[in-house]
Amino acid sequence: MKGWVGKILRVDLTKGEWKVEELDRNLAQQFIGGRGLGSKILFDEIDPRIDPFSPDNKLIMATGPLTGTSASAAGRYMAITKSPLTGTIACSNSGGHFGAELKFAGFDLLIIEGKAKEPVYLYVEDGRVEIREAKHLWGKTTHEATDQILSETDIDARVACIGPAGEKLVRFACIINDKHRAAGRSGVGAVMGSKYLKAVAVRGTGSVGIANKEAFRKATLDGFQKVKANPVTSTGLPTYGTAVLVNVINQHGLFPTRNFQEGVFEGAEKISGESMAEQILIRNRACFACPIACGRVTKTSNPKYAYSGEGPEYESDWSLGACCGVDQIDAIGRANYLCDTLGMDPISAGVTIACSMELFQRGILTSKEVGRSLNFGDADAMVEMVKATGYREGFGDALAEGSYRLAERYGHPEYSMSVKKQEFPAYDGRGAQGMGLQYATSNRGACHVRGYMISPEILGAPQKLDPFETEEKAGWTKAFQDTTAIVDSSGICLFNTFAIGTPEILEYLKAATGLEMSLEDLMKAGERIWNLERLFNLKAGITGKEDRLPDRIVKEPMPEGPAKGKVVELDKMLPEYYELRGWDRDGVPTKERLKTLGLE
Amino acid sequence: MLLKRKKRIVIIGNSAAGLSALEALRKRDSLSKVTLIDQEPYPAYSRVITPYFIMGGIKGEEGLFLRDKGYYQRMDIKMRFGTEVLGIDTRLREVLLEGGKKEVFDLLMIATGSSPVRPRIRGLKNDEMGVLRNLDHARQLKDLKPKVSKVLFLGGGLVSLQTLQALYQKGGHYTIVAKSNHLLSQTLDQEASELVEQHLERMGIRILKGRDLVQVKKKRDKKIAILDDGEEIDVDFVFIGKGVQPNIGFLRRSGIKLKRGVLVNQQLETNIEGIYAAGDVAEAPDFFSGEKVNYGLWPSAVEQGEIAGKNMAGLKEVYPGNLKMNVTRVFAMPIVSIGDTGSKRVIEVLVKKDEARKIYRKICLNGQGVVVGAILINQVEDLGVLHGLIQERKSGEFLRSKDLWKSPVSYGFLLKNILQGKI
Amino acid sequence: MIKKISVYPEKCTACRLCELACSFKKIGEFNPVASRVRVSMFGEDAFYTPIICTQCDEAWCMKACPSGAITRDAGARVVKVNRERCVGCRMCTLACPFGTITYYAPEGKAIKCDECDGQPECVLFCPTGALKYEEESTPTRLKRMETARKLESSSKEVQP
Repeated sequence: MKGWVGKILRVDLTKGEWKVEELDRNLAQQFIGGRGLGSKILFDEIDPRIDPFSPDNKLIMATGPLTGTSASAAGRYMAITKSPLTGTIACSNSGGHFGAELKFAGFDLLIIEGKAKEPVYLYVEDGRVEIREAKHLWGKTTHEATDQILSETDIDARVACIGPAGEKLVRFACIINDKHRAAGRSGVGAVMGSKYLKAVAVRGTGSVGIANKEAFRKATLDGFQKVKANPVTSTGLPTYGTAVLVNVINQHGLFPTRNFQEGVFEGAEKISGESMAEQILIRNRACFACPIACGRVTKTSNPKYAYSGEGPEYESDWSLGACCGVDQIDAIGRANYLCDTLGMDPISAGVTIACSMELFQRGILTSKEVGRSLNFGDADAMVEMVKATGYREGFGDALAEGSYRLAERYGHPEYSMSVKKQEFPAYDGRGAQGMGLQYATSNRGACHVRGYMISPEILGAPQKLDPFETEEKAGWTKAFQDTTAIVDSSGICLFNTFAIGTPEILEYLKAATGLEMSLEDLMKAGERIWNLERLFNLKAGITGKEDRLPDRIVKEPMPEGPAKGKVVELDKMLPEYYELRGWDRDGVPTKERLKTLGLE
Repeated sequence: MLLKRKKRIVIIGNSAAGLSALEALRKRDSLSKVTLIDQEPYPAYSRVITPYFIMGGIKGEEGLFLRDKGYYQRMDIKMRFGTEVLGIDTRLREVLLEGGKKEVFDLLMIATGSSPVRPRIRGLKNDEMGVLRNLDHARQLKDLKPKVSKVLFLGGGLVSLQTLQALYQKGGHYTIVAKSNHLLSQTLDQEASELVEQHLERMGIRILKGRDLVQVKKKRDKKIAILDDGEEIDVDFVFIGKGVQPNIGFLRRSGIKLKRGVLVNQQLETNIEGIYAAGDVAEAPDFFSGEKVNYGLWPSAVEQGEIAGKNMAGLKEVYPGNLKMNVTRVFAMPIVSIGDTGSKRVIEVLVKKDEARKIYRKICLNGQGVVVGAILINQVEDLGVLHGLIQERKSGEFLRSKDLWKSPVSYGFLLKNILQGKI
Repeated sequence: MIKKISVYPEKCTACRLCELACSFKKIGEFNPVASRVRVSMFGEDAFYTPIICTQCDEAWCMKACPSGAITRDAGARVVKVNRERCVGCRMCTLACPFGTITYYAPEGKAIKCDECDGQPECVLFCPTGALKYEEESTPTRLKRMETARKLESSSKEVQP
């Protein structure tokens, strides 16, 4: 096989056994790879009703056919499992170099089953794997564990591991690879922790083959030119990182502030990508094969918040910043660094802390429960809570359950800014209707990278839409969701899509794999993947009833700013969305639609 | 430029040292009359890669030749190939050749190399001993390969192991008999040797250590090798890999100072002015101690030849000494040895062993923490970087941080540490 | 004036597109191990740079090669490995202190940068100009020192 390397590594941690399986070519063609293929395997192999922490859950690390090639930013892998945060299918995408190394080691996918008796890590090396003892690594941060594993294996190896948060089953623990890249959302790291799997280290010296070399070279150069020509990917992201968005989103009035109570943050300037570049940025750092290089190597000399690492990204900058009312960039940097080293999703961590701050503001929570005051804007409180959450210490134990379970515990689930129990990212749907619909319908709960409607609604790519208009948003949302499924399955980074679209991805895929495929086939694959995820969720008992947004977003008008007076008019968009998807009124895919997608 | 007057220069030896001396000289002096003499009739070829020739890894003998056809003409020299040198008259400054011929010289370069040691073994005549040093030997072995399947290798050094691999055929019976208690004793330490021995044994090679061959008996058409403990082994062929000795016989009465080889000073000049020696025949200053040592390595011969050549052209260049270095493969297992890995100079060692992956890495430091040597098996990617580090006499302190020495050290890593002032 | 590949480490983002471009051109597959250029990078340190053969004036690999496989054509700057002649003995890799000539196991041969005969693919794919193909008058050694100096300023100590 070309593009794909054609092999799956399956490791049974319960039995301590492993085997290599052939990748089913037909399945690969239908589900592309990465997110699609991994979800298909998870769907076929586990009962979606299981407890995500049971040994019956599986964790799949999946690369795409483009991973490891010179297609623009083609270093992605995805961690797919049943989420302990949402109960839905989880698929978290990460960059760095781990995914590409897995391909060079000879595997498209790694399937991890069962549960080890005591902590272990895997060392995958050129077509084989060792299950190694990891007792000495348990409790270590992601950075400590990575360094230790590199010294035990190979300095050129790539390590994906969990930190204390994953070990302690923090529901939004992530998997950190290459020290600073995260398969971030939905608690995939907690599933890894539940299996007593500390890390997967990979070293590969093999090749990724290409079916049509000349065509592939042409396609990559073409994609490369487009990325270099687009202002977002050529200037915005490289110069200021993803946090270039802070000022933009704030100016549009959908920069969620103090747990979504407002949409304009007075301290935005201080935490913007521009400020970051002035204060903490040392150098850009790219993921594998990426011409954009949005990664930031940063550090602060403020001894109080001392760290040296990478980030924060726009999302973590916001969640630990504006969402908590914090405007100190070095404190945010420190908290983000803690999320990296403890191994947890800074979006959920920040929004959960923001939720607790709102509960505190309203007197629902008191300093007696928390052990300290918890006011919006208190940077020290925010940093302290991040650490407590990662170790599940004191009140952190409650925060580690996520905002929904936290707020519900105190009788006010309405203050959890989440969908399907997963916390919102950094855009308030009241300022972008399509984004609101996207949040409500996303297959893994609130998420910005399942259909980035901000692109047309705010940034004007590929064309500018009125963010307050609801008409046609259903169609756009569906198209964006299906396209994202394709991107995630192919192995390239979503950020490419500012500059290139499905026609370019089609050229990459055709040349890499040698398969004959039309644009229609490709879009259908995206839709197939979306529907498969939906079927998983339905089987897991998560129905259309949960395609909802918190009351605040649909009932409380935005108090000020450009989006003043707006709420997300979900009911205007959702029925049309279901219809376009070929789903019934309850949001269940119809037999006919499934048949056309080959999913009956 | 430096040399205006035409000189008469004679170089004896048409191999690594002789060639590089010739080229270094000609770069600076195109006028002098140069004569190149060699005992063998062939254009310069590589002795190092003859095992690959026997194995069939090189397309014919052409693949062994180091320079193109027009080379000697371009170098503008008088060739006397296939001519034996009988002696040197240092007073009259003449090279005495077979058939009563002579070559007069102002400057002389001795690069006559070395020959295999042939121990006395009862029942085994000199011409029945397999050796590998020159092209004729290689041709013989190549012809012999299909005919011999039971071979005994006397000596556990590099030449034996390389020849073994060159002659190896599936189903054959191969025995290594070595006096020392581990193979490659000149190159590796005990632990590294053990890995090599295990690897050879997995390939079906029999290894007999601490033993010697004392006699070869012939019974009808069969040959039987008898060891010092009385064991008898059926053999088709006996190969001798007992090392080499410098070719200095013709210098015995010349007045040139000899020990094991030709003694030279830092400028690679012998005790007699204008007479230089380089390569396997020379005993030149050691990299660490400055004591005279016989290197016997291709890159050292090239380096020495070049410096001697420059000095013959009038420069005063000093030979800094080379590091002992070997890199070889034993049935696909890469083995590297650099510098000093076993003398009293080595005070501390950083050792990594990975039983499962058969990896062994040893980095040797002296009393000041300076890296002086390394042995690498199966994980050898940083051989060049380590060699450079030892050559530059750098401290190995930085390697300890996070145990990073356990993995191959990249040049980028060195650079980073240099820039951060840690080296 | 002759063109050569120059390295501007401070512009490197460690994306490794150079490695991919190189291996794809040389072996038609993506494999960093087959690449003649390597990006060095280390953990959280803000230090990364492409490491590529500088085509040394006194090429150590060439001197060490016992099979006459490493040569520099008369008047040329680039040192090349003749694949027909190379026996894979690795002596050159032992001689090169920069690690820029490497042993490629699948072929059993030494590999090194030949600047793609004047059209270096790594330079074409480098997104930031960390690798450039340009006229170069400074002698190699001076250039290397310059590189080291630039590196120093770009790799500020980043320990907390």
